[in-house]
Amino acid sequence: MPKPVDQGESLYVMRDMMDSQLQTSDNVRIGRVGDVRAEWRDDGEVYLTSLVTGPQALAGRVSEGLRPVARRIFHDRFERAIPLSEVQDFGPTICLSGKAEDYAAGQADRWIARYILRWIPGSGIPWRRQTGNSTSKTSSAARS
Amino acid sequence: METSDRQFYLEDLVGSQILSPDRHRVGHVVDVQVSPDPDFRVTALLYGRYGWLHRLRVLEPLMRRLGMREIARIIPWRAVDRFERFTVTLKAGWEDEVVDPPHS
Repeated sequence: MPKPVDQGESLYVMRDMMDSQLQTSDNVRIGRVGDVRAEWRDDGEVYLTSLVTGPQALAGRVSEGLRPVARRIFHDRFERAIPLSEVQDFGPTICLSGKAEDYAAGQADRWIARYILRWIPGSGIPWRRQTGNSTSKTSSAARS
Repeated sequence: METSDRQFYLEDLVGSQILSPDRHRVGHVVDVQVSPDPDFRVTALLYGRYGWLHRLRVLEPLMRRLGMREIARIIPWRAVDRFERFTVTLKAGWEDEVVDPPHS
């Protein structure tokens, strides 16, 4: 069970939130924080509203000009905002109160892992298991 | 995902130039301090070269080892007049608002 946020301690956006791993209550990692959205209210105060994940948020961090370009490419398909009220604990891993099925985040990460990273030697993604021939060849070689 | 005029991404604020009311450069925003749960209100901007060490969690242990006080610079949000186009402009008399950062 994650410990609750310490009420007396200040948080820093870049130090404690940005790029942190998001983990659900059932211990599933659903991606990293790409950016944090804030709202300027009428009383002059600014409040953080949500953690944003997805490639568009990351593109916006490289350059503001890339944000509309990424939006045109991805059409908000992978972009997800998670309300800060869902956060139970901050740190290198941000613990969320919901389960993995409650969040649609992490699709972009999974897509990149499945279609790009799996081809990189040493990526740790077992692509051989998905192509049956390679596995059987390895097994028969081991037997002989 | 579009944001309204009142909404913005924190990454746009971080790295923004901080200007005094008479347009003198004060520094750049290195990090943003937020009050903890439940309201997550922005309370201050961290700036200056020591701000980087603070952001990397190096400053406090380093200063403790050297027997010095933490010297990252902080501007409270109430000293901010406006934020537009990657520039934070401070209110007149903002120097009076500058405080030492809390240890966290």
